[in-house]
Amino acid sequence: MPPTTTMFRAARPIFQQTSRAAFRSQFARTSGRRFQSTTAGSEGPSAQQQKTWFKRMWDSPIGFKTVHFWAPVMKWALVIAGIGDFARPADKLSVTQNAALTATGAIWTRWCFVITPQNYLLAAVNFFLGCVGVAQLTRIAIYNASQKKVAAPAEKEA
Amino acid sequence: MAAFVKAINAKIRSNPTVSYFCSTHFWGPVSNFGIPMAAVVDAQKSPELISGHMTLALCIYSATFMRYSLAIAPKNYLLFMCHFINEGSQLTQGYRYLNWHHWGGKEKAAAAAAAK
Repeated sequence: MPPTTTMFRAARPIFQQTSRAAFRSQFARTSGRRFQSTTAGSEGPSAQQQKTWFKRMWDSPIGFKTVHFWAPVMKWALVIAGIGDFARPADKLSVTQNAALTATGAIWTRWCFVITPQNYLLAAVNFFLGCVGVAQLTRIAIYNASQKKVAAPAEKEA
Repeated sequence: MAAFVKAINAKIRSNPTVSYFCSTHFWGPVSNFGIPMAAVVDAQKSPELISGHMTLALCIYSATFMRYSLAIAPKNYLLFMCHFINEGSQLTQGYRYLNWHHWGGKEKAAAAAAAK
């Protein structure tokens, strides 16, 4: 006769299965929640589906009513203003401002990937801001180079 | 190589002052200071260089980020100061732009130059 402990251990699957199955069937007969609140229990899953995406965004702590949402959105205004400035003549562009925007765009793009959690939307807006800054600086550089070319032959002639 | 970097990083993080100056909380706002500095430098130059759209966008942007810097955790007072100063600089540039293009500044400057 093997020791009783071994017999109990061998018989464990039989016991555990039945007790688990019994527990599960009893669990399923209720609403499937361990704890029931009065309102949630009565309404069930339909209440969850009624809360639309817009309502969830409206109430969220990072939703439409908060600055956490609108701050990255606002930064797109800088990108759009920069793109609008592509129409400005190159001699009317400010070197310092575009250099500052390029630097801030580049640095914040990098930081958006090293923070927790990573903010890809903010990284995107800063990347485009850096691109706009580089484009404007290139336009200024080309204009200055062309001005030098105009001045040099004029000096040679004079 | 990785162990070397890890050792340096541990040394940096152990000292709170050094850790702060080697953190994004410091260098992010420092890089943003370029914008108000550019505006201050440009305030000495001709108003023709001012882009009206960009100045307006920067005014709204700095106002938003003044609020954002105090709403995040931890609060970033350096970023707040950066955008506070930028708000002032951009409003100044905005005034110079409006004065030049819409309130007769260009004509007055032309008249003063002609009088000389």
